[in-house]
Amino acid sequence: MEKLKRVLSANATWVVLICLMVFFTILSPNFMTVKNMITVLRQVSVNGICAVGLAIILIGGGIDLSTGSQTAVAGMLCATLMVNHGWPVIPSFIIAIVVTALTVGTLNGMAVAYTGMPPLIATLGTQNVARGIAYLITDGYIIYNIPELAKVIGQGSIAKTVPYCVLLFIFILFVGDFILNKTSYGRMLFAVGSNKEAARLSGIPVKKIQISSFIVGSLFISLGGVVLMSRLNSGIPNVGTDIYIEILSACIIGGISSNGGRGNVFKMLGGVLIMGVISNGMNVAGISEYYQYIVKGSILLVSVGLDSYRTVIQTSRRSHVIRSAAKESA
Amino acid sequence: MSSVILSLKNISKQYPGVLALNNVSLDINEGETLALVGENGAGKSTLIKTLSGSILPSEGTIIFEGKEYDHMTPKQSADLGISVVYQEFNLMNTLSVAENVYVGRLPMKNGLYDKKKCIEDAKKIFEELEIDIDVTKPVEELSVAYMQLVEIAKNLAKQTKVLIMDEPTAPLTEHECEILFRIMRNLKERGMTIIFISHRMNEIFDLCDRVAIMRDGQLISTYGINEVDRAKIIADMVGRDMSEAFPTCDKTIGEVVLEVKNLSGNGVHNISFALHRGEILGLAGLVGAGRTEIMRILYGADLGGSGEVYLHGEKVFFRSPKEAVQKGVVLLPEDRKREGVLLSLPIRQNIALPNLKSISKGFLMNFKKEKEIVEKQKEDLKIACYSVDQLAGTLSGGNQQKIVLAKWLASSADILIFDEPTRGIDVGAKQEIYNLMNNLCMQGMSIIMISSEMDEMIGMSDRIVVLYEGRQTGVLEKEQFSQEAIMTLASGETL
Repeated sequence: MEKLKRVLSANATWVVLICLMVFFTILSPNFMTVKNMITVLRQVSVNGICAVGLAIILIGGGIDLSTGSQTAVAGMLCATLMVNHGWPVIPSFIIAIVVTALTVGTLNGMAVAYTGMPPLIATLGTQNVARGIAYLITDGYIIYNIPELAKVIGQGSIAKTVPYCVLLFIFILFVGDFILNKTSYGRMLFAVGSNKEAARLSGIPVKKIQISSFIVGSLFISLGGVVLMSRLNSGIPNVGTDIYIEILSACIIGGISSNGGRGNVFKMLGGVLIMGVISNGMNVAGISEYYQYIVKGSILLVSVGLDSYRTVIQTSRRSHVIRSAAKESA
Repeated sequence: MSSVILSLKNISKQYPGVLALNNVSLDINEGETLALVGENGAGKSTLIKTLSGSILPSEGTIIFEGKEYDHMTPKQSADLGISVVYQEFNLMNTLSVAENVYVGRLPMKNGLYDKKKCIEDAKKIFEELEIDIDVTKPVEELSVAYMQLVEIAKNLAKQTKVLIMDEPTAPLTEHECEILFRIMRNLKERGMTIIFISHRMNEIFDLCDRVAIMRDGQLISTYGINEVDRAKIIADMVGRDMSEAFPTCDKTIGEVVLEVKNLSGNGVHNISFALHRGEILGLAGLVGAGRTEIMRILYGADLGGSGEVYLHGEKVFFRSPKEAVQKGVVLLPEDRKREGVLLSLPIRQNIALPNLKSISKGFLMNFKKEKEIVEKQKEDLKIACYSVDQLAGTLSGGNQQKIVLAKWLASSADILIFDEPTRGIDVGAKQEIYNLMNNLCMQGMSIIMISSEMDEMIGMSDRIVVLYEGRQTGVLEKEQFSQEAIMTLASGETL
């Protein structure tokens, strides 16, 4: 019994995921079908790629609410380069990703690092700025007629079962883990996210790390944006208006702390899948969009609430441990 | 003799492991000005806080105007007329002077705030005190001295009987002090009882009727101001036996490795000293003397400094901690938990942090090398943990200090600045830290040590630079070391 308890609590995200899948299977006969599962995986892939980017930003002590707008800018930029300017597919993808990350990411990072403003507010601002830019690229029109090659990453699959974008997502998970855990840069990210002042006094260039975390994160988010464009077959300026909440919830549920310095992208996968299943499940079950807002908002509140509460508990427990240790040695 | 207004009987305050107040009994006469003096940590603030109600005494009684209380609550204390002016002001910066004076008790008319009356009443108070001030001005536009006067006026507006001032002159310029003293004399003439905490001897002899001296949580002595001199007060403040034994070591003190000329900044002016190889240079002074501040300037942690710094003869000036670390100058901060260790990360990552360049190839971490370096430090410093993957936050203060030391020893540091190296560390671990410091010196490293513990300062240092209110008041060689000498210089007196 004790053992079962321990196993359950160590794998809480996966247990919740399975429960949710059972729940939606019972609720709607259209949920647990091969076709729908592939749709879920495609949706999850785009959000998951973005979530890896957000995880990097969160671990470095920041937060990014402009994720949805960034996906729109990257998608629109890529689409307009290909369709309206006749650029080849591959360079358009690369340029769109790099340009979006360097502009929006740098703006976010500089605002946070140099003015010391809360990242929540900074990225709330850029959320609107970037959205405006996405609209301005075509004056608000949707870009159709995407070249065939550009649709492959979003829509193609191996033997009509395993979508390419799922493979890309899995690859990106490994890239994210590599950056965070296998490089000296990742170490500095954790340090800055854990305690900025202590990191600075240890000789870490804190501002550089903060700015770069927003840029590196934006690279992944922009990649998510072009994949989304490819999946949707068009460049849509108002795409992803509320995915920032899904991505953020996915990260937090997956154990990326909103207080910085803690998290693992493989564990985060659980959070991404949970959000994907809830989002798709509610659609398939025909739950009204209005209720969906309430559900998604509540999930964010509860997950961030639990995360913050856990930090409070750990801090007090830690000081208790230190105190009792001091008493013992005294 | 006038009557006793406030009386403390056998007050003790026990914290886990520390007796902050030990059986203190003190009578305060109505209308007198009493100076309360003592070293850092002597128990002055704790005593004040039992009177203001922010600390519950473990034992003892407080008698105010003949009535006995076993403790005070903040409200009770305020209602009885005990007011404390702390060093940090409780003012609302964007509100006007008048509103600050009457905050919480604004005059009302027909259920609405009566601004006119508020301004008039406030004016009256300042006029009585003979202070020229525009009461409609927001507080943030005032100088520090005037903020202090507003704080005092705020307390006077509530029928204060006993006014307690915690080092009120510390942030003031000489001229501003004069204004404050005039007000204090004025209040005294009107019969106010004042308890005055200060480190400045001149003020004490100028203003006070009696002086009470505290040390190690005990009240050592009280004197009428006419029956005592400075030397006696200082002797009573420091007259503690050297209790702990300090390890000695055979080391040779070599050439000058760091020379500082006229270093200024952060409110500290013209500090000059030379640090030799293998030496421990003590930086002594009372809290607020600017010891930490000037070291943060030296380390590049705070900007806005000026002066000259020579490292191994080369002229340098660090603009960031990163630059200092690259040149082998490192800081072990006083506030370990906030500035020293990363509590939520494992020991391994803490120690590796400043050494990432040497344990990675390009961006790629070399985990084998990391483990070697970290394990070596763990062995060398005897860090008590079950694994280097244990979170730093779960360790004791002594072991956390060892982690901070370990991360620097793993780098190429050769000048270490220890800010309060043993604060919050238990006795056994203290000895270990002392031994480590001596070992480092024997290996040819040099140490600058800030310490508020007098015996640690004398026991560990080879030379001592003493600061007083942002100025250097003297340098003591080993044969000149004595608690009296340090305390004299630290109080701004000359030897």
